[in-house]
Amino acid sequence: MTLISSEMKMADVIHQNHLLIPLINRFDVRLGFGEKTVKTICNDLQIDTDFFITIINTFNNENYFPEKKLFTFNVLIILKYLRKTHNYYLDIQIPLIERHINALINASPSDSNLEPIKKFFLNYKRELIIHISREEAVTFPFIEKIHQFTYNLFDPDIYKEYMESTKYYSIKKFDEDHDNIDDKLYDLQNILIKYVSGQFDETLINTVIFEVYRLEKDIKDHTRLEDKILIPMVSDMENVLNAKIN
Amino acid sequence: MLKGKHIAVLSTNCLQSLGIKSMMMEYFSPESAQIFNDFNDFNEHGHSNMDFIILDSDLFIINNEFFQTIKNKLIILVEGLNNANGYQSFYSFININLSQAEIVEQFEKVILSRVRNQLTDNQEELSVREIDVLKLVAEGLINKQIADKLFISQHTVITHRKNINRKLGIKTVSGLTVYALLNGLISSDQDRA
Repeated sequence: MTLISSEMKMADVIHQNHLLIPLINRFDVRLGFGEKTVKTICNDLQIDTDFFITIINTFNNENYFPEKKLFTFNVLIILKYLRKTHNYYLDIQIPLIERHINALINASPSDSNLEPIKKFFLNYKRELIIHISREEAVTFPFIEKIHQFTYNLFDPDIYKEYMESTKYYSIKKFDEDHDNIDDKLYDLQNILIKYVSGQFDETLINTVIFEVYRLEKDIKDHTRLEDKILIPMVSDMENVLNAKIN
Repeated sequence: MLKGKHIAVLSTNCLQSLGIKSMMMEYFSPESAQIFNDFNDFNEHGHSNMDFIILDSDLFIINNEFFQTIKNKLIILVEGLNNANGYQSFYSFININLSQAEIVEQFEKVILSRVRNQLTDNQEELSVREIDVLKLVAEGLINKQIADKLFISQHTVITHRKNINRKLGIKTVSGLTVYALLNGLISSDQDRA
């Protein structure tokens, strides 16, 4: 897959890979960009062009993951992006899949055996909500604090006090608890592809599979950014801070 | 087609080896395809973990003695099949003086003939014992409980579970529960996952 550059027209970027549409929406880029280049649109919307391009390229090409470059971005800009993807999962993609599953069940004869699939999905949804809320309530605010301590005037006492108040939370703790949330999406697709039987609406089941696949891909990309960039980045900052108080 | 298989591409021609490698990746998705531009590199690296060795005919002729010993792994690239006269029954040849589609077709034939017996689907059916284990997993039992109930060791339970995961392609317990429900192995009031 060709690397996307900031000089390309945004429309050509989307023609290259339509799956990028929800991704650019996360940066508040909306369709209708005419002949504008990526750079122009980023400047207009005050988006960090470099970050935008890097995120798009990593999503576009699974083998492209420029760790060194990603490490140069501000942790806050990464958090902002991760929060936006959380919103996208909870507000858009999960409700969309749920609607499609409901439609599928309504359109299929009552003897079709699709209820367990719906239940599986609802359980997954619950898990995902818990997973995301934990990150938003605990981990992300913690990272913001660590960022503050790193880049503002450092007061060891305030830092110690803060660490005590968190009961010595650390990004390592997050890493240990950070469970896999894409396996179940793979299982769901696999069950739909291999093991459904009886009567069902073909178009709707295809849509469900496709949308679950999109969510799985997106979550994998998201998790990779957290595991390979965010966690090591914060861990480095923690090490520097902890060295200051010892 | 080549899931889990490792390929070596051995050619002194850098562009040719790149071309073959990208063709392999695009059409056959092997686990890996590694390029070696001279025989010594290849020899040092060793071939024991390679499932297929694609090499150009010059290297094959020069190092014939060596390659004789691993001929069932070889796929030899030749320019025009008349060079290969008389050897077709002992070796697999690919004529590279043809169009892309034709080259791919030749590779497909050779590869299929070698991996065919590994592709049969009935090996992927669950055994009776695996179904027993699956039912208990789906009912929410942990390994220890399953072992006690079936009078087998926990180690055996784990082996069965690995095989179940591999055969069905389902990794999570709740996924297995849905499978068991869909196939009538358990009924929904037993579902605790």
